[in-house]
Amino acid sequence: MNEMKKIGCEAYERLLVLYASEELEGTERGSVEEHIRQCAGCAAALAVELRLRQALTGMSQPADRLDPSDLLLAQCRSELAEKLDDEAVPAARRRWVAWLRPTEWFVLRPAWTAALLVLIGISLGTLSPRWFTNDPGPVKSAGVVVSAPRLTDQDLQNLNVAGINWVGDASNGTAGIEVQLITEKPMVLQGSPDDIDVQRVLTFVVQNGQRFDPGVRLDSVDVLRLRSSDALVRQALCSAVRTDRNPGVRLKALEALRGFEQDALVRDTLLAALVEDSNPGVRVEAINALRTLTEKLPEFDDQRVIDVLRERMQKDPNTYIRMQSAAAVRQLGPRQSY
Amino acid sequence: MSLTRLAFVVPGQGTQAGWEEDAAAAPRMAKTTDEQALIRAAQGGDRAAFEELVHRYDRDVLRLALNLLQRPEDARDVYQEAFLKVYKNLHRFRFECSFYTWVYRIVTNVCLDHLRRRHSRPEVQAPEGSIDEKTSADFFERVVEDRLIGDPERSLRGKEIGWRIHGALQTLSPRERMVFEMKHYQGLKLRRIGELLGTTEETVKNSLFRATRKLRTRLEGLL
Repeated sequence: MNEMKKIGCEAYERLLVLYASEELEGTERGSVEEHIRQCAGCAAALAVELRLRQALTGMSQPADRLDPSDLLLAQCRSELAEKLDDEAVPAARRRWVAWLRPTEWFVLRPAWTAALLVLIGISLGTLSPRWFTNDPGPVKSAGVVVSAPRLTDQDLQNLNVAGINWVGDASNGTAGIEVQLITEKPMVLQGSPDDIDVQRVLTFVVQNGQRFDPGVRLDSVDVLRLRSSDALVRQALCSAVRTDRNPGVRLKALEALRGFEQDALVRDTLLAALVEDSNPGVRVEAINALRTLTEKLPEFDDQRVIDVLRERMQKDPNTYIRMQSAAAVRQLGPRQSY
Repeated sequence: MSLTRLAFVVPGQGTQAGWEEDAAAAPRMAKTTDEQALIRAAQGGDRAAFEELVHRYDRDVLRLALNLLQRPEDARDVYQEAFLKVYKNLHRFRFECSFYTWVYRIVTNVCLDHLRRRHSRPEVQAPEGSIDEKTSADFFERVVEDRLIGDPERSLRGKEIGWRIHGALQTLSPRERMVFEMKHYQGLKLRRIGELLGTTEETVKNSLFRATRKLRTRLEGLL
């Protein structure tokens, strides 16, 4: 009898764990309850199981203290967006580069490769004397477009940008922009930052950030900041601040808008960034820009700005931003509040 | 503080996955359709749709990683690695299980890899040793529940239990740790945990049983 009871209790040891974890139902649950009414040992074991669960419920979870205000979550989301940018654009670029990279092509097609090498040899032999005799001035590759035919809207929709470079010497005022476009036929667009096509491409890039490489977007903002006085450029920069997935681009676009805080669109964008942007650095930049309003507008009286800053002062998850908001309220708000 | 039970709403699973049907069935159906549309859009290359999907699950994913790994930098690595895998393999998702299950299989595998690496190469872990050690006081502050503060005796006992439980959790194997986390902190049923880990309910029961036994042994005298 004792032996049977012992075997029974061993079997119940496992069931007690499941019972305490609320994993038993119906007859199994009834069987455990029946058994513990009769067996003091198993009743004590169940009490231990339940106390263990109780102790676990009394502990805070590590996640509660490690990321109490979702800052880490925001950081993770931002980093993921950047990595996805890196993943997405290089995929298109990889296809392009793979087409240019001959190694695999060579291995798979030896006969064609041999023919191609012969052709290259002949071409080099024919052309090289000319290179040595002619003046080695700047040679434009085929397909270069210099501030020429206007890009249509359809062209803009279909193009991609491989890179943006400064050319010439900025110190003597001859600096220009070279935008390498990937279209059906690769081409290079050259012009000054004032050139209408250059501006159209760059504003298109920052307004349609999801299609372009973050580096290209950053370079576009860098060029456009020189023409922030243009309302259309500001509109594109504001769009980048609100929609670009890369915090670096958003930050740079905000910097490019410095000096134009009086513009209603810019001010709305700064407020939106302060309230909605997940990146603390961007929010700080927005506050800094708003603080300059008093210098530019001695009669500053936009109550919305004060209200948003007050709200951030209390609700922003970042301590530094709460402090900066308080400082900004003190700076901007005394005429209304104190 | 009560044990947090995260209510994972799993679209499209119904009773098959052990979910109870409830009055919210209609909105759930709408959500399922909505999610399917999002998945299809994301599979077609729509970044916004993919990010919407990520935002539906990433809070719970990060929470799971933080609870398991207890280091923000490791949890961040898990988050990035898991969602990049989801992104790269999204075209393979064939709607044969819920998206939640599919994502969580990836996430739990990444977490287990991290735990296994740490298990085989223990680095800086939570302070080990007795309650008298100098370092333990700070650690207690982190693990003990806030409401215990104010009652010194209860607080001390709570701290000791918290400390011992934490130490005991370190002795679990990565899989036991995962099962324990999903059962006790995420409030999932064992059958569901089995689905998410790609194993049977019986195997999960065994893991839970072994984990509980280890904890009981380590906490003997306190419970």
